[in-house]
Amino acid sequence: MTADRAEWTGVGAALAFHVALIAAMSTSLASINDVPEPPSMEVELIDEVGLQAAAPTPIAQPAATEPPPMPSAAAQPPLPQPSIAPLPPQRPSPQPSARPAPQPQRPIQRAPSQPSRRAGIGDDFLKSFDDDLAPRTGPARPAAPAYNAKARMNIGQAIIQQARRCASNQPFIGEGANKIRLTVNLKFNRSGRLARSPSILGSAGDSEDRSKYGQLLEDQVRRIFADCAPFRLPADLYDTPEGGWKDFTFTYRVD
Amino acid sequence: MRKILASLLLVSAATATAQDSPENLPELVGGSVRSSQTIAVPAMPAAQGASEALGRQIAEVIASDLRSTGAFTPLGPNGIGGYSVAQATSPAYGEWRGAGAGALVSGYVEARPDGRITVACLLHDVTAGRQLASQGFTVAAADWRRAAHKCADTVYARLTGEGAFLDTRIVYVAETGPKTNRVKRIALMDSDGTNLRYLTAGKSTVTTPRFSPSGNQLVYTGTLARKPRVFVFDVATGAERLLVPGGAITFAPRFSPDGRQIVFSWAQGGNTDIFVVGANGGSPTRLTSAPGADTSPSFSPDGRRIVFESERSGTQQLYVMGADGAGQRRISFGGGRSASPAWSPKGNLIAFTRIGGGGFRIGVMDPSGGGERLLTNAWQDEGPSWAPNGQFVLFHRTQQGSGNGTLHAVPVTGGAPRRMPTPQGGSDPSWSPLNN
Repeated sequence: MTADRAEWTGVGAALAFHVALIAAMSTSLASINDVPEPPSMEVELIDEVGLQAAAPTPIAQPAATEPPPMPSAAAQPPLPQPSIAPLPPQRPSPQPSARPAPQPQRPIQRAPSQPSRRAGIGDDFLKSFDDDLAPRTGPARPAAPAYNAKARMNIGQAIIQQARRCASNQPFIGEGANKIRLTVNLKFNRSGRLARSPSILGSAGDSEDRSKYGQLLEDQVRRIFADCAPFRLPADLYDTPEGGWKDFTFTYRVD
Repeated sequence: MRKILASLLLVSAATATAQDSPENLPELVGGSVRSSQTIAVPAMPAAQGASEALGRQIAEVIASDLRSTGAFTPLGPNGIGGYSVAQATSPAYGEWRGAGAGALVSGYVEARPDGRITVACLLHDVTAGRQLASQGFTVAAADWRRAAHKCADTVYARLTGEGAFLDTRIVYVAETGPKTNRVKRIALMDSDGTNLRYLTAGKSTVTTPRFSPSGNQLVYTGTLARKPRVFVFDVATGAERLLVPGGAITFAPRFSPDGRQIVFSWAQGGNTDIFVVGANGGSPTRLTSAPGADTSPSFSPDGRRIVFESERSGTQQLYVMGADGAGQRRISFGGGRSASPAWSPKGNLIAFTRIGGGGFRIGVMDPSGGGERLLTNAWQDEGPSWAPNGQFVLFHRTQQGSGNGTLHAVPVTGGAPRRMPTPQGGSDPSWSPLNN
């Protein structure tokens, strides 16, 4: 059996394309080390996330020392001697043993030390930031890429994709919780961690369901973004004149 | 030029608005993992002269309570380390994360100068590293179990969004002796099976004890002159009285949700009908008059309707009527019979006994009669009673052959029934409201 001329032409073209592709990728990857390290940044510890709301929320948010919203419990008179009282306010102090190791590296970790997180991002994410990944030589390249609609969409996808691993671990709440949708705003710092607690901008769904389960969904959001941090996102899109992932708003619901 | 700029601005504004509306925002979808949550419940430290052993016992009760809900897998107090009083409010979240806990119950026990104790109860989200709840419960030293139940209720309610139900009691008919000569006594216990005591002596048969909404009283069917009679019983004093004086044959009583009325069955003139009377006495008011026995009435939580069983169609079926007896209509259909209905505290479901196919099973249905589903599948399950939060149905199960009865609670959302810890056979259970 012999290949005809057209088949040989096709094989040749494919080989040439692969060689070019490998060369391009090698150049791109090699250029990563050439990018100068940005100055080290302050890393906000995860233990300090979620202790106070960053913005007013429509969901009732009890103070840290107040009893939780438990209608049936609240309606109950105290025990035989009515001296049930909230404890004095206590702010959990960060525990050194609980702190993840400080990460003075730049936020974009193209050779991350956490393969599992990298595996969750995928090729599409990297392709979407081809400008950012390109060799940074020559004066023509702007200081920061535009945070246009495409970049906004890609950043959104990247954050959602990185959060999905922790979101999928959340426990079943109850019938009716799946009809609630929270609109959540996050404020990131450059390290990819939350700069403050998630803010609930709004919630949609049956009012009874929201009253019963809204707090639990908010709890889940806090857990997800504490557990999956730091988020690996392109540093030059953190804060641009057009916006950036410093400020990110999304919706959250459960299955 | 100005028009062009204005148009561009309008387009820009419209784009921004579209991007910010929830429909256009990125969406994160959380999972709904149906396994139980792992929660650490280490032994509580003691402060100011309290007993270290007591701190461990309190943690054991909390862990047991949480395990009984089916929603949690507690770690500890045995097999895990403790912590200091200072760490109760500032736990080492990283260490608890490392132990595999998603949540942590901490606290401490403090002895007070007046002889009572204070149990501090704190709940933490270990993953997010934050405190979710804190409560303090001061009780007589002998009532330490109640403080533990209250703490468990705080945890359960905060983490599930459901109402509390652990600091409650259960009343039932304790059955001892051989099948042909059973001694039946009304027994009262905490919902975890402790603090059991008998309220009646067992000289006469008793059935269907039911709590008042306050939990301070019971109504039950006893016997007097070999006839069933409804009694009202004061739990604190043990005093009791006939609901309807005279020789009336009365049975199957239940309180109204406000505690002011008692609805019951009255057999007279060869027929059994449903009546209602003031909880403190008065003249009974007839609610039904159809041929065939009407019995097992149960109020809706708003007090406006009553579900009951009736044989007016030839077999036992469920009917709903107004609290004044108006608008009686059948709600159970299909094959088999339906009996002993109980309206849920939330009002959205009616639990009942489905009889047919060679068995008695516990089912629930909408008050309109739709959405019927069975919660159990054994030889003989009957007599449903709701937990005060409407999440569990308590019932009694009779073993084929021996006739021995045991008490079980099944989640209304489905799942395996859990046997309630009674020291002997039991029937006709009733769950109390939350303790005061």
